[in-house]
Amino acid sequence: MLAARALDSLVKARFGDSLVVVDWHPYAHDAFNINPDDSLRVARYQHNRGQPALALDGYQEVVMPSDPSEYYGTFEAAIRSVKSAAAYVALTVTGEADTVEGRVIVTLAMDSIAPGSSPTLYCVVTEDSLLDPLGGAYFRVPAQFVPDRDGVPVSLARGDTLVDTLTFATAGHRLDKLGAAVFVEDSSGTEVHRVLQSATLNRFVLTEDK
Amino acid sequence: MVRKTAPLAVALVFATLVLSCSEAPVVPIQPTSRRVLAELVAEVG
Repeated sequence: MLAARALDSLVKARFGDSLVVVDWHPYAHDAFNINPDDSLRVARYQHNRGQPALALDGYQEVVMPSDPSEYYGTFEAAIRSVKSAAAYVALTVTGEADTVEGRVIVTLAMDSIAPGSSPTLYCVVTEDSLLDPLGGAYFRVPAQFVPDRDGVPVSLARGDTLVDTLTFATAGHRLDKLGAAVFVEDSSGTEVHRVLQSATLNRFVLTEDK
Repeated sequence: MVRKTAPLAVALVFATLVLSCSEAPVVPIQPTSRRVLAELVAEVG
């Protein structure tokens, strides 16, 4: 909880939409494990059972301080160091949803000099305000990958713009609590799974059923 | 001599046009602010 709260505070006080947060709960005994243990992703990060671990842009693990009161400052410094690198990927996301279907509309353009030749687009639909038995609230908890956890390979020439709509079923979700995290990963470089750019969809625009 | 250089010049211009047209248009994406993806493998409870 404390690490998650530190990230929430950094979003509100420091980074706003320039910080995209996904809060995984990979353990079987976590009641909020609505996305079953995602070993494919979680295995990338070192972690100790029951202890938090934080990875930035998919590859850089933050050394967690032993004192939780240092989470905020440690996270902020690490995020600033990653953020200082230029991004050559333009990524914008909008979304709309009804009681049947959600649609994430992704617009992507990238310079051909961007590192990596096999970028892959990932979209994670997240849900907010999941409460635990003690009343603690969980935010940005992954609900599902769209279309799936393998992502969508992207092939773009310089100057091209990709506009894609990713759809998912909204049954069982609270529409007013849904959001999405979208990111483009370089799956071919030396730093495997390095995220080139990311974006947050804070809330879906609710529409009539189509 | 004049008759020979004129077609040569035309050929050069034509070749330049063909070459330039074969290149993809350069529309560089300006460096944008990086939005950092923070993935927390959360502690339990």
